[in-house]
Amino acid sequence: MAEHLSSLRQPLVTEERSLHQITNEICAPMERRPTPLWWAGLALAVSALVLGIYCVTYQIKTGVGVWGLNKTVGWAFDITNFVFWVGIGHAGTLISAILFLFRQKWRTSINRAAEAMTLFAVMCAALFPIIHMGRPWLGFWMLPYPNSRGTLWVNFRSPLLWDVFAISTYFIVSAVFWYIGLIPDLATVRDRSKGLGKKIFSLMSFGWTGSSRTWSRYESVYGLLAGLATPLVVSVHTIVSMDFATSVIPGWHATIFPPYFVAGAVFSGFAMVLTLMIVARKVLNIQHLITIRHLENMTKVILVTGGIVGLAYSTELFVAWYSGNLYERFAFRNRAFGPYSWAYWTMVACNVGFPQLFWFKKIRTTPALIFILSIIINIGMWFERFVIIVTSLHRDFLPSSWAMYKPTFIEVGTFIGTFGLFFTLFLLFAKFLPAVSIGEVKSVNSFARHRGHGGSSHSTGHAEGEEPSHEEEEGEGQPGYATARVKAGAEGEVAV
Amino acid sequence: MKRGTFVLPGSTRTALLVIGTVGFGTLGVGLALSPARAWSAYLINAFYFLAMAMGALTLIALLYVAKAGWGVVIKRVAEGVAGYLPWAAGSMLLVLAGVHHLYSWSGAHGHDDPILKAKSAYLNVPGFAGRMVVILALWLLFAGALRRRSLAQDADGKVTHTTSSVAISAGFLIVFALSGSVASFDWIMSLGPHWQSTIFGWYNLTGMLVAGLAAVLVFAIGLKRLGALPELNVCHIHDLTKLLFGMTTFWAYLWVSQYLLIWYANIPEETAYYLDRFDGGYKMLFWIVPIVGWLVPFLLLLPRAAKRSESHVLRVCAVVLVGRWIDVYVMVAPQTMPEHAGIGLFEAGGFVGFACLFVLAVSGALMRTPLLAKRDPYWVESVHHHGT
Repeated sequence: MAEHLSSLRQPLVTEERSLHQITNEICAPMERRPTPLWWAGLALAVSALVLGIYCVTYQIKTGVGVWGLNKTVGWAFDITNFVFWVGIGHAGTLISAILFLFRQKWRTSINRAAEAMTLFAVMCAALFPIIHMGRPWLGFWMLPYPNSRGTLWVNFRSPLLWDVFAISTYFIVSAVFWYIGLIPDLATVRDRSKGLGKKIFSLMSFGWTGSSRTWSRYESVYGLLAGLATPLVVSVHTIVSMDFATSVIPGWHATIFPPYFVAGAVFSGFAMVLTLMIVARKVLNIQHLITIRHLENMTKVILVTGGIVGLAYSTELFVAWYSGNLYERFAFRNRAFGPYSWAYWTMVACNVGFPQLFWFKKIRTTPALIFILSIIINIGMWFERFVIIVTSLHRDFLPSSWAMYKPTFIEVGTFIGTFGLFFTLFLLFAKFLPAVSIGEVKSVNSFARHRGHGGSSHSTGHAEGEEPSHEEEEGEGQPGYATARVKAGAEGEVAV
Repeated sequence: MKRGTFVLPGSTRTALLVIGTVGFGTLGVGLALSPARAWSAYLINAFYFLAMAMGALTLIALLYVAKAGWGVVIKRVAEGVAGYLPWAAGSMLLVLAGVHHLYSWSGAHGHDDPILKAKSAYLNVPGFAGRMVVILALWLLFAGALRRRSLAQDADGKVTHTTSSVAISAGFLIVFALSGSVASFDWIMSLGPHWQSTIFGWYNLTGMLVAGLAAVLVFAIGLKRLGALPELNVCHIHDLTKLLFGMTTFWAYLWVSQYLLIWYANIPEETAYYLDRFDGGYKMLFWIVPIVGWLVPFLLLLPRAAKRSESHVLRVCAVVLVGRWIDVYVMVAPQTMPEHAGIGLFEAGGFVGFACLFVLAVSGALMRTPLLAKRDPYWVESVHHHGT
């Protein structure tokens, strides 16, 4: 197998592992008894979830009036949290689908957990509009179907309805994508387990055999789903941005919103992936699979998307001034210097200021610092949504209506409750399913370690005068992904 | 032709010089007869070809920053296309001579207009000229820095040239994101000084990258056919075309974002921009832009085999480049000549003149250096590239 790599390539993974060892290590958390740390985490998460359930129950019994909304600020905490969670739900499918199309092989050890996180984040997000309805049991009225409610029909012109379509589609495709990726690993777990576990995993793995034909079909489906999921990643936050941008409210109506929101979503999603992964790799003891290089790559994605977000902030500010429009100018002056200026500057510092630290390699490769910065970005991105939503509303066209908004205990409790739900689901996932994709990590095993293995024999200079054309035959007509897997499989233990 | 070198035959060179002179001559006659329209034709074509050079430079920077080993084979081609940049900068500076014919805010009547008065701190001739000089100088500086290191590596083979190019490219991408936005606001958006759209900068930056990718593909495939670039294999073409496919789609996404949001909100100050394009005979051209710029290339490039066929990719690049021109035309002309749409002698003359200048400049840049950057540390990955 002639992998031609430049001498500049650093190995992704440095510690030697055989294929069998990888299976053992990834399956270990599922096969041993949960650690006290896991129980403590679950207890904390479930407590938060219980608080959330209490708050939501109280709110539904009493009415939306228990929130801090007023006649000027009619949309605040619920929609802020909705956008916050939907944004976080962007990283998983971006890693799985878009990085797959870009052949970024480092994605293989983080995609599983990131996708799971995406699904949980989208669940948390979906709760808010449903709760906001006041009568959530009528939530199915949002679905357009012939009904006996007379003229009661959804409004196809409303971006809020587009949200229903975009998010449900995204959730379904992401879930299918995630599950398809899980099937080979579920079969691995099946083969290792006994008794009831074996029965359950047999059912879940759909009788996976692992034959070449099965793999080949699997690769086609995976590639197809990646292609389908890519536009969906972009569509969700595009439509979320249109909830605001289709209006005529200064501060909301900006044509830059769709791409700017998508960049912000990826930015926050990667921050959350980092927050979780830095903890998970340590607790699950898989630092050699999710290495510093993985973390570093993710910080670079953050640097790029953070830069795009910063550019969007400055473009908005400049164009608000450039428009010469009194109301646009006021909206932005009010953001930066009005009563919510503390929120605005928190947002700017967290999203544009602090991420610049990632320019330093030292910081990009120190997990503790990355962890702190990822939390700062999570906070900053929450404030971004708060600033956009509340500061654009609280001082409207009629100064006599100007008001301030403050969240109530119920609103804060509901938000904490979604964190409870998120972490409960994530902890259960990490315990009961393989948190790293076994099959995919193995498929890039030899690639990832190549340089650690005297791969320099193929480094610079050797190509001089060599005719490259004969390389063409190899793997022609096969998806490279499948080729990589076949190669890794054929070489087996020898490759590592 | 010898492998790794390109020579423009003398007869072709003479022909380009003659045709180009005729093209610019036509435009020059236009400047005397109908200055407003001729300046508009000048700006459209100057900006259109500048976009290709900047797109190619952006591609180089992106390849460096992403550490994309596969792209080294086309690095010199992209550098060649970016080699038009000094000419592009010169041609943009000439726009300053026609500033009063093009930009209504530069005239005296601007003082009676409250909106223009509100933004006169930004929209004034000295500011416009100053920003243009600074922006073009920055672009030339970055282009020169990257090119110098690339050539120096041919001589000494040092890896440090690549590592410092990565840093320079990162710097360039930041500077270009900002300065490219300002440039699109200044040079194009301010043609209609009452209108603004926050997405306009990103829309133009993406348009530049699309134009650059298409131009690089055309030159790369052309050089391969001449036998000068046999290292360019089907997978390089496939990957570049995938990028073209992706970027045209992203461009269309930005087109829709701007149109849909303005249509939906229906604020008179904003819809005026589109109403200008529905009047005066521009309507058909306006709707052709998303069709030729995205729908046709999208459908033509969707099958995998399509992205791997040289002749097919060349045809699609031609479609994309036509789409880019009409897009620039539809951004400029309804503002500079609102009464009558028309693509006549002046537009054609300007196009022919600039096209000849562009081909001559790019050929010159390609001829000056070896086409194969063999001592690039990623060269080994690029010649052995077989992606999918």
